[in-house]
Amino acid sequence: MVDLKRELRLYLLLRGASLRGVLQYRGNLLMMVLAGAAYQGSGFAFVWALLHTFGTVAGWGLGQIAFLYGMRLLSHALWLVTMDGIGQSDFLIREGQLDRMLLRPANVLSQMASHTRSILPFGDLSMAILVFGVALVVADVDWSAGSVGFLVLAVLGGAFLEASVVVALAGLSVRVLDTWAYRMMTLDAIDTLGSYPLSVFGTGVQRVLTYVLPVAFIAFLPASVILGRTGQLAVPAWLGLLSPLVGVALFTLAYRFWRHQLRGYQGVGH
Amino acid sequence: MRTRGYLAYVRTAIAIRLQYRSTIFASMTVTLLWILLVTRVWSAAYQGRDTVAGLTLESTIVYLTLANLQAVVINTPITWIMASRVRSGEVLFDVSRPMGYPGQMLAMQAGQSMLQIAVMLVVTPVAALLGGLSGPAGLAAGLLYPVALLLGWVLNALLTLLIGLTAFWTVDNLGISVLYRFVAAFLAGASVPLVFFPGPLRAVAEALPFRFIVAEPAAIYIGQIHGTRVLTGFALALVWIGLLSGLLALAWQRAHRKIVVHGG
Repeated sequence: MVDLKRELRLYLLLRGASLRGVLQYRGNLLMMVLAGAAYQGSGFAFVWALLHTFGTVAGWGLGQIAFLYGMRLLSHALWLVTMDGIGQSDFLIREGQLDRMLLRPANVLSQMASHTRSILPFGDLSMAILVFGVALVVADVDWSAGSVGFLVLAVLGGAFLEASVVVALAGLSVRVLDTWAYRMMTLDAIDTLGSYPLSVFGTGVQRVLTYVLPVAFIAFLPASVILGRTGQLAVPAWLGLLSPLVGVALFTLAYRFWRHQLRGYQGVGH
Repeated sequence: MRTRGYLAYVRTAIAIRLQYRSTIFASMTVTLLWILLVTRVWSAAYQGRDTVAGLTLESTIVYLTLANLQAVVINTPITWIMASRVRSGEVLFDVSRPMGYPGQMLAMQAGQSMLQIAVMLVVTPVAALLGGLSGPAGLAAGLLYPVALLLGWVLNALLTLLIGLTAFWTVDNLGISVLYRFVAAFLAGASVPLVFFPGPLRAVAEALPFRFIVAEPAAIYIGQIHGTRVLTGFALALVWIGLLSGLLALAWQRAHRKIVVHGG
């Protein structure tokens, strides 16, 4: 426990320092936040333009899709704001910066997570808060202490699930020097499939996206539970309740993979 | 002599792109995945309706499949290459060659796009299977489609170079190029046909040049627009090309004076 507290304190210290670094470039700062917001905003504009004409998609109204979309964005922004730097593992290894991190008396993954000076995540976060805020007003949800608690856990679970992909890719980049293409493919797949009611697909695809590539756990299953839409699921409804656990379990697995890979680290150019 | 120089750029751009084969594969996969999702979402939205805003589900699906294959040209590494050469100072070699700098970049963009288009042609059968495709609406549509594509390509190349030139002032243009990519793809009608845009947003999209990159060619192909509307569209696209070329020349003149080679 003492160890974890120390790691957390170090993480915050390093993250604070890199954020102060970013604040030096005001012009690009604004552009980056805007770009982050536009990236996520254009995705939501798609949903909005679609529902403006059609009203519902696979039985989901604008409020409900905004809720699902906002939940996914919150998870996404949460891991991005805290762990974005891990996504630059290729670069850190190629430039020999990982060697430096290995020498320091702090968790290597946490150092990677905090080194980034990218501000794009704050654009994602602002869009997430905006979309989810609108969804809370528009969507008709039966709130109870239980559902609020579950919402918080599910958003955390979704963040862990997405982060587990990035951590696993960081593990891979210890062996394979250029993982950019895999990163683009997996993260875009999550972006594409994570934020929409997967009931637009047939039951087969829905099952694959639950059991094989667990994208459904990020937002679709927990949002279906909260919105009371479990009737149309192609998989058992109680799976939705498990989404926080699935996120934590996958993250733990990914972390172990990363540790294992790091032990075999040989650096570059030797 | 000049032509040979530019052709060398085209070849180099293809060679650079071929170095990153896994990236090509990844972008193919992402495009196909997006086609799968977008066409499913629209089919679910159409449920029980034949025609919405004058478009049948079938033509909407063909539009979306085509539009997403076309939109690939919006995402190019040229802005990034321009910025990194400004940062490293290599831009000094670019400007001292006896060829115009915008021309060099345009040639590079052309090589880049040629490979992208070749890749897209290869994946078209898969795209047709995941989304849906059919022949053009008629002979005229089939003949005018490539013309519209070419005009769209030129417009996108000019816009990309303008975005790339910002590197001469800001050094890092990642923010603005990401912004361009998403705003342009959306306003070009890559995932939502423009007829489905809510009123004011549609007016904005129609007034801007982005729609010529994706929406206009795809709409011609499915026969949504035909006859004089196609020709007025072409004329308007040419006006935009003229305007943006002027702007690019002006911006380059300013940028040229702005060159700073870091560290001596």
